[in-house]
Amino acid sequence: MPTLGWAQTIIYPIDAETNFSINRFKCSYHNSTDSVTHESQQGVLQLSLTDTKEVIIYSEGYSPKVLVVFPNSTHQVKLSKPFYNLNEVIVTDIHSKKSFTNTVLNISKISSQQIEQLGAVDLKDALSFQNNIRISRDNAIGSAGLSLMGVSGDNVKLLIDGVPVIGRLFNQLDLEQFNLENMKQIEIIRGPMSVIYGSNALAGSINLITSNDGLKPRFNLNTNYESDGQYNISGTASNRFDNHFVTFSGGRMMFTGWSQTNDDRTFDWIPKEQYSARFQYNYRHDDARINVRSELIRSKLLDRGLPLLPYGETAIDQHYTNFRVDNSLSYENKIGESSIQLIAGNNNFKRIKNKYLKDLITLEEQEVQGKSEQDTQTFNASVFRVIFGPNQKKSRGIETLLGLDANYEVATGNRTKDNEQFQYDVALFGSAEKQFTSYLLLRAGVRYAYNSAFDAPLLYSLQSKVNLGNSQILKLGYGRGFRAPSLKELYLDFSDSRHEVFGNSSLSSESSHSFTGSYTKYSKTGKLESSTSVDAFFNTIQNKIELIVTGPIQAQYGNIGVYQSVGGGLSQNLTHNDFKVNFSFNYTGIYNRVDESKTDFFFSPQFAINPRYTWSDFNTTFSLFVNHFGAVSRVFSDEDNSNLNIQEQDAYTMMDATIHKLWGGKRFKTTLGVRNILGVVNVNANTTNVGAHTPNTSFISISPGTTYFMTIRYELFK
Amino acid sequence: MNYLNKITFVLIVTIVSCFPKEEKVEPSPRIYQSVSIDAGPNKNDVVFYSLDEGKIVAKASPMDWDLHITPNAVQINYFRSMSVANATTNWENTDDTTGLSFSFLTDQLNDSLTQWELLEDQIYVVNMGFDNEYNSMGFMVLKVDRTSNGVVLKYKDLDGNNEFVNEIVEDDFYFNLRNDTKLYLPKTKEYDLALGKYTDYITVDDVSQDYTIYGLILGDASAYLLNDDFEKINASNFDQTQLSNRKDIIGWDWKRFNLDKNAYEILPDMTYLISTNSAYPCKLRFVDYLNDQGISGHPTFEYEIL
Repeated sequence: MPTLGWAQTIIYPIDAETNFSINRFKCSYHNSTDSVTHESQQGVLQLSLTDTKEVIIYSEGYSPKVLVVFPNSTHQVKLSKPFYNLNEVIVTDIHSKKSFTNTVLNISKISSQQIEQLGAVDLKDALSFQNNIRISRDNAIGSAGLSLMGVSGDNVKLLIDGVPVIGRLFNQLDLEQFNLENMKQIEIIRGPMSVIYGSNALAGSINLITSNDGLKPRFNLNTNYESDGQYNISGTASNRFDNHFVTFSGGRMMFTGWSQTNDDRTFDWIPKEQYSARFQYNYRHDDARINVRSELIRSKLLDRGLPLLPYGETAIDQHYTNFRVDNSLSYENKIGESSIQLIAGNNNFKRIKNKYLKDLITLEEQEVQGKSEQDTQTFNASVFRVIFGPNQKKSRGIETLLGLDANYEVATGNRTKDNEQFQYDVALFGSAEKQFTSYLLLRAGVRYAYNSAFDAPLLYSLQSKVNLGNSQILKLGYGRGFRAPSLKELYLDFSDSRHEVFGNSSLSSESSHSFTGSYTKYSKTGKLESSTSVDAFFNTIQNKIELIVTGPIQAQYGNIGVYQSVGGGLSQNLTHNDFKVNFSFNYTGIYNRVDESKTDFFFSPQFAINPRYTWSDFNTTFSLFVNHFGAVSRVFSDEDNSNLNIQEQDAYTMMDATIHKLWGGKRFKTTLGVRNILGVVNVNANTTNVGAHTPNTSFISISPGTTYFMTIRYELFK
Repeated sequence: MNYLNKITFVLIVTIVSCFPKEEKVEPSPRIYQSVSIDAGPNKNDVVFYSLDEGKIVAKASPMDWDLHITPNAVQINYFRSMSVANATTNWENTDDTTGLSFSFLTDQLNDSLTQWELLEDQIYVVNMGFDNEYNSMGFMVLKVDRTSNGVVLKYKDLDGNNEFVNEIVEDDFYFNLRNDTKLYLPKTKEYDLALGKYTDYITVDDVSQDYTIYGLILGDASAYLLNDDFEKINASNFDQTQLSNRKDIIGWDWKRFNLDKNAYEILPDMTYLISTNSAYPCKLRFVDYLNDQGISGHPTFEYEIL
């Protein structure tokens, strides 16, 4: 036997998700005349090859993989399950299994393609049709907030490239401040992330991932017009210089204001002009990676007042100017088999409110003097986080991460108690993950924090992912979360002649227990690909902080007691050739123990459906976005629970339709669309005082009615 | 090139967009008597105005006086948020506020008394209100007795110190208990309107409480509110039977604070019909609460003798 001419080529496949070996598999290749197939049930094949071959490795339940093998070589082949979209890398998960199906996190993402199809300009647009997210807008201050799984946005952490963002107005971050130019994807984690991210991550986290890498230079220009008065322009330019990658992006968003009836000089939706600029630098060398991001946002809002009666010759106008400067540096590297991640960031947020008396005869305006008439608030937050991942091989396959997280925030302004207040916390946290069998992935985390203003509880979490076979995944999670009272809630007093809002330095932190679970089944029948998910959650928050009315004009932040949200849902994604549809339904109940006599949850349904069809021959995608929000009720109290109020908000449905087309050699992307086809502007919000039986009807603004929009995106390099 | 033109057009549209411009309004002619009041720093000043004479007759600080004695009543200074409680023990033993219930006397439970009026021969513990910096001025004990040609004022600090008994042979004057002096400010017949800060029991959003607020208190005039267009109202609209003797019938609620706009605004069609001290019918409305720099505490009202 001519053994010297036959070299042994060893092939052993492993599961790309779990790294466990795959015992039963086949390997095929062509020799000079025939197709040869070998089969193994021991997880390894030894092929006798005389020259280089292209082989196909396949195993039941996995996508086939083609690779080129050489004589006398060993090949470890990672096989992936077909529906798991393993290329869809996630960033928010700090552990190494960074794909959607590998992680224990209950996570979803909005891709840049979906952003384009939706014609979304800012984060509010992008989140408008997401499952179990409700968007709300305060037209008086021109700011949009959200609630996630029935929990308000003050318990949702917002991050840009993993760095927390500050600058909340009435405990909500303004979603309209976050332009989506150069956004790679948006990741939404449902469930507490407090062990990793600390305060505000009690209900979940939203991480905006920017695009800061690539092989080719980019020059993109994006323009958008919407018939309610939006004129937006943004652009990105980037290039690689060896190991260095530099990106500049920026834009201007202009909203000229909108009113349902244009019968005076005021606006229901006040005008806003916003400039943003972002510089990013990325350096890679071997395993080392450095990212620098510097970002500036300036927005100006104009709130015109009604002409003062009886002559209507003067009016009080207010101008709000927001400045946001975010800087961050991240570094990651490998030290032998260990890893290290480091993030340092600083956010500065300044909000200036100026009040003007405007002479409507001359159109001249002058600033109103007086301490209470003008206001500047400044918040500065710094974060430093280092995460060390010891060599996994020395810890029995447990991927362990040990971290230090330090945060410092300072508030200054004439309304802040003693003009300046600060708060810091330093936390140690650890997270350990182990793939026990090919079926079971477990992760446990713990965080101990010291906070300068209050006692932070010990936080811990346990999350699991179980592969049930037949492309089924079960995820179960528990986490303890908390939210530190913000500096505003603690120390910011606001008073003028007519209203007084007091911070409360004796507030306790909110703490929570959260349970999440989801089951997902992937299947493929012919060309029909399907994923079906059923999920459920339960959040209970102790010491919920709310603004409590204490007098005719007085209100103070206080801990109201227990707040709970419970719910579940079903989502279905179907793909058949060029047709895709996503459908989700969820039912969320809210309860707070303000009314001790009642233990009922107020439940509200929500369903979203998003069918889309791509006409490949014409590079055109037609999309419909529908999101129905059921009626919601909540009980709240005033004056130390002496009065009970029930607020009921009517149901409404938002529906958008878009056409997205690529043309000009795919250098141009155009999205035409209609927003809010059903023309919802306001919904009723009745507040009933239980004691006095005095219903009070008001409205909540939803949208400036039906609008038409057009977005043109030009990409110079394809 | 065609693409370039289109892109250029879109770029221009998106870049040049700006905040909406607005048209100038035409000024309206002023045909009524107009009076602008400066309430002073922190709206502390009290301004007395006579509609009959068409002028400000006096301006005072609420710190100047504590009591106003008239032939018919002894009133606490409501422009300083003074309040009183009936003492529950005799003069000698009245030395603390334990168990006392204080009232601003804006509304009297005793129908025989006018607003802010004290009973004779009653021992009161008086909360002296707040100074111009909103500091509490402490408590005093007071008893008023009327004589045939004047009054006897007996008062002391709550701790028993500085006790005085002061008989004054006059029937219309103002008195300062803290420095034991009397002073002369306009008598109620000498002015129609007094503007300043006082305390009222107000209800906002189903919550009620005493609150210090800037408003208008009548002198000897009487008035009522007619919710109608000021300019259309003439003498034929004046209805004597609707006149009220409540001193705060005009009060403060001709204005409101717009929380959204963070500014005071005058409510529409709040026309007050007034019978002046000289019994002339008069219509009055407020047209502003801000001065020309936009600072509140500068009420402007217009009026016309019908």
